[in-house]
Amino acid sequence: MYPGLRAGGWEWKAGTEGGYFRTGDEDISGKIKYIGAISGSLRFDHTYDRSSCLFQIRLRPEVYGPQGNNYSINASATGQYQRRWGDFEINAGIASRIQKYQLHSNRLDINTFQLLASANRYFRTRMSIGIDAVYNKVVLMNHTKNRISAWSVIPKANYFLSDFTSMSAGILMESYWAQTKDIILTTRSNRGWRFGPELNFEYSKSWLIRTKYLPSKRFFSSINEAQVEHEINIVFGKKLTTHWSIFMLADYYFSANDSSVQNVVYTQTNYENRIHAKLVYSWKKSYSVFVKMAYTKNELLYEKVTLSGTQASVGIEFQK
Amino acid sequence: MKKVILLFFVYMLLSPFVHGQSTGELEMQFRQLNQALQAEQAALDSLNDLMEIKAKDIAYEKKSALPDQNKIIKWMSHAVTLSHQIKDRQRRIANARSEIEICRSRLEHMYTETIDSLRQLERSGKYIGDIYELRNHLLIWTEKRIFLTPLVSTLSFDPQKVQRTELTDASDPMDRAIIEDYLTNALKEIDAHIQVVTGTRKEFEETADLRRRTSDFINEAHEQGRISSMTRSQAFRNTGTDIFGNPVGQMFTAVQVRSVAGLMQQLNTGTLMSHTNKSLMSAKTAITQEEYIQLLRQAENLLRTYRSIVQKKLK
Repeated sequence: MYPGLRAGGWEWKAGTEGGYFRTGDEDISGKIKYIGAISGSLRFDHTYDRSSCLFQIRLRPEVYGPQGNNYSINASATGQYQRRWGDFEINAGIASRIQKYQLHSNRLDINTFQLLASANRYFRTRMSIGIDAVYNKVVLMNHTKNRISAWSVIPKANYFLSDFTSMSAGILMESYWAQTKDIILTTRSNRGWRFGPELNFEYSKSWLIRTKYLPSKRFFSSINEAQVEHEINIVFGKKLTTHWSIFMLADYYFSANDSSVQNVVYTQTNYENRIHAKLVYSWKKSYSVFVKMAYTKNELLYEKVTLSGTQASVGIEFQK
Repeated sequence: MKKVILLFFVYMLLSPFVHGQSTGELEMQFRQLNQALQAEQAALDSLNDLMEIKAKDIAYEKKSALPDQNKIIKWMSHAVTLSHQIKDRQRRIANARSEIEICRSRLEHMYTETIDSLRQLERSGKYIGDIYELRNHLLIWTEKRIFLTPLVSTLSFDPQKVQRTELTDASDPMDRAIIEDYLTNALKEIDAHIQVVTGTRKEFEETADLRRRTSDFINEAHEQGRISSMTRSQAFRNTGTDIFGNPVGQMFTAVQVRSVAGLMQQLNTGTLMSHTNKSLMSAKTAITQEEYIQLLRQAENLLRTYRSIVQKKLK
């Protein structure tokens, strides 16, 4: 409808960072003192008439030193399409992700595949209702091989209190299936579903705050008792001056998993907490240097593996 | 027939609940908002006049043989305060205009629904009451809608007339002074519009930029040591946002778009005359934040071009 209103096109970003890293794993804490990482992404988006498409690939290898062969690789590819007819909008996407962790003697590979479809209908000036449907497939390989697939549907209502403040509420309904193949034990599987309300709030003007709270109950076919999990995400961003910006993120996830259903549950972690902060100095729109502070703690369900660490690093980024 | 009448009255009864406010309340709100806008506009005009006087005083004092520095500093400080007050008023005017447009759109919608219901009654031919009274009602509601239909009168002068006007056409000094005054006022008005459009555009651009950069930051953070990969993993940028990182659900409907598009149309540049762009003026048009920013950018460029034309005429 507005040809030429949005140019779109190719965008790339490359960066490197390095600094102090202290792992929470006592076995290797003496061996790891620093982290070095390079990251790159390539993005293409295009809008014509009322259709938009996006393609994006990202890669981030990390090495931990000075001793041992410790590294991680994270790669992802995403494709998305969006189309609007008057007050009606659809969105479809496909994503694939590979994560490899080699930490101490633990080798962990996670392959994820995701499909997304969503529809939104806009009402009047500030309201819309919509539905998101997501399919996830995860293959997680360590000493065992876990396969998990899940369908989820989230009907939700979005309301804009002003041009810069929005809130939304939805209900997550998810059905999943999990299977564990073990060299020693027999193959086990489990299926179940979970549901819970999802609440979001965002304010973005000269500064941005985005929050999400999702408490949910999970039901299994293997046990009668439902389990509860909580997820809270808070993101903050502010442009301090023309050149300086600050971003912060806090994720809290807790799942009251029962050990009796280990390896065949829907999630791979008992808890996942992280706090990230990034202070960025940008110039000429293409270059930026940053200082990053990060704390992450994930406890994997099986093998009781804990991936945790505290990081303080500096880095540089180029983009076009 | 009874069903039609019943439906009409049920609609009229339920309408306030559906819309949250009755038509009368909304009309009252519309009037009050317009009065408030006029008051704000008058205050802004006074501040602009004061600012102009202050600027002239400062310039005069600076040019004098023995400029009084204390006096200049004092006046400049006052000018800074005035400048803040002007910006504040401009922001308030922009907000008031936006609220008026929202109110206007809701009223228009209400009127249209009522007119459609009355027309249906009239066409059915089964109306047993006084048909003239029904038509009278139809006329009243149509009149009310016509009152709302014109686009926001964004420009008080006639842009075409300005384009035709030349200082050299003046037949005597008095005529020249009148033309000069007319062009100066037009220039002032264009400047005021440029300020509002630019301010709004910058505000939305900065917000969009902050959202995009925050989305990048979230993606980066989640690449680091993120194990979970089910619905909690946000492979699709961020849940609840569109391809460009804007929150889903935000559409700029006719209320905001029409005031900008109306301004562009009044400038009579032909940009909005194409078939596709005509739909911008439709009450049902809804565009995304990205498109709204682009529209503001276009309006700003048009205003600047028009400004240079007017300025050239004054030289």
